[in-house]
Amino acid sequence: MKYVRLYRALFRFNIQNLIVYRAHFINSTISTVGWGVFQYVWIELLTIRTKSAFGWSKQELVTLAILYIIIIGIFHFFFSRNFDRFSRIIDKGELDFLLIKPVDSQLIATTHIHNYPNLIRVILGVFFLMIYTRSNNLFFTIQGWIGLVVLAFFGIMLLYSLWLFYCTLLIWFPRLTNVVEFLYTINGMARYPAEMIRELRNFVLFFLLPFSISIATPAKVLVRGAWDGDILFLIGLSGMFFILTRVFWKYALQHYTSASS
Amino acid sequence: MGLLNIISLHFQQVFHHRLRSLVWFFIPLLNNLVLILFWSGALKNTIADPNWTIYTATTYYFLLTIANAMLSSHIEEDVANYDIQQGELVRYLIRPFPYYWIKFIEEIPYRILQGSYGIILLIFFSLFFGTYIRITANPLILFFSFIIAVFAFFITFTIKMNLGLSAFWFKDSRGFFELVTITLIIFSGGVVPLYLLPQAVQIISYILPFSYTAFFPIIAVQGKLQIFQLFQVIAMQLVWLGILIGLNRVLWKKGIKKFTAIGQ
Repeated sequence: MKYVRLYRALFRFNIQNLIVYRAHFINSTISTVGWGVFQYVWIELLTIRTKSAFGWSKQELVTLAILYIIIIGIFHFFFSRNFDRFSRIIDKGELDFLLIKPVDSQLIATTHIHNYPNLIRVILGVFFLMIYTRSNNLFFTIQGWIGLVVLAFFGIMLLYSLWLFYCTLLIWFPRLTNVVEFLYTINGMARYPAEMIRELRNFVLFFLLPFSISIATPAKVLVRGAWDGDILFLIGLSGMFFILTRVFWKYALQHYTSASS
Repeated sequence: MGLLNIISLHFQQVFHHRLRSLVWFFIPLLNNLVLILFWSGALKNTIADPNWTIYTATTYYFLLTIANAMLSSHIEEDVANYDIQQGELVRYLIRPFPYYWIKFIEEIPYRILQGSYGIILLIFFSLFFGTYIRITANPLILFFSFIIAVFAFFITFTIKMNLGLSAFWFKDSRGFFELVTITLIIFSGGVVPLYLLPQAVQIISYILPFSYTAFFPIIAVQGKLQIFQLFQVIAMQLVWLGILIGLNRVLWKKGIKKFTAIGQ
């Protein structure tokens, strides 16, 4: 109950922040919507002369890219801005102020700030999905929609765990400010079918697989109604990574030495 | 001698944070590796085009990685956020050196280090998968490709400098910067080579300056351009460079009058 009240207070705080810094909101909305549109343009350009890739038809690839806009928008809304500031707060010792609060350190460090412009991106994605499905006469089952929502939750949980894992490394390397930029890039992996990594069978690229299944699996359930082994893999992997990163975060905090970290 | 010392100091600073530069290099590398992977599957179901095979695609995206690391400047946020908005510009104004060239000297070590990572990777990859990399062996074309690459860097640097200088007028230009970055990625051939795009988009791309920052340097190294076409590219680059430098002078002269020396 304490955490529900805390999260409600954080919501209020973020809304107030949004109202005070309106120009910043407009600016962020422009860039967020720009990147959202870019994801769509990206896949349209890539498939301009292609009928299919890795067993996914052009329509399925475009739908995957649109679902990427929506799911990644939700992820960015709740979490990414918090990870953005990790390097700064660790390097300058500001993490102290979060650690001394009588709440869970991981929760407060990773959910403090909400990124409202990304809600516009989610709305844009939903708009794209409606237009695209209607113009291409695509119909999805109710089970598909339910599967999408449930598995998107696990996909976001997996992305959260992966981001937290990489950002926890900043406790040892606080000057590596561009790690988050790198994570934004790896996230882009989720725009492509997971089969792309699997077919290559190159162990060097297997670290990309978790990013890839995070959105491709919910998308596959929606567009193909494919309730296959990937679902268990996604649920299992997200649960395992969530526990592992929590343990890693707790371990890393023992090595945090404040401003001189 | 003094100038060499200044350049060497900047090199020292950049090499001190070489791991950071490596992460910056990994960003375009990963993007382009993923694109090669995508095409390895997609080309089986693509309308056959002798200009776009797995060999040309692999070479294109490897060269794109090097172009992104070596020729693509990211000076705009530095100029806008630190120099103009936080007032750091003051320490540049009191130096006996034009601001444009100081920033240029600051940027060069980053490009050389990150570009070196790219060249090392290309050599390494060529040793093991040599057949996938197809670069021209004609020394004359390579020479002109080098000139095109140098002008390409000047163009991206000046575009980004001009973007940064816009902070004299705007408090927060991040959205605008991002939109320009997106436009640059699309029209510089950052997703697919411009010759794969529809004719109308190709024409627009060839008029805009962005294609001269990555696409043309890459296809020049691939040997896809004849000597007279290389001259055409260089001529277009010079035209754009003239326009951008002219704009830079205007922005600087008008903008500096708005600078309040304690931050905007």
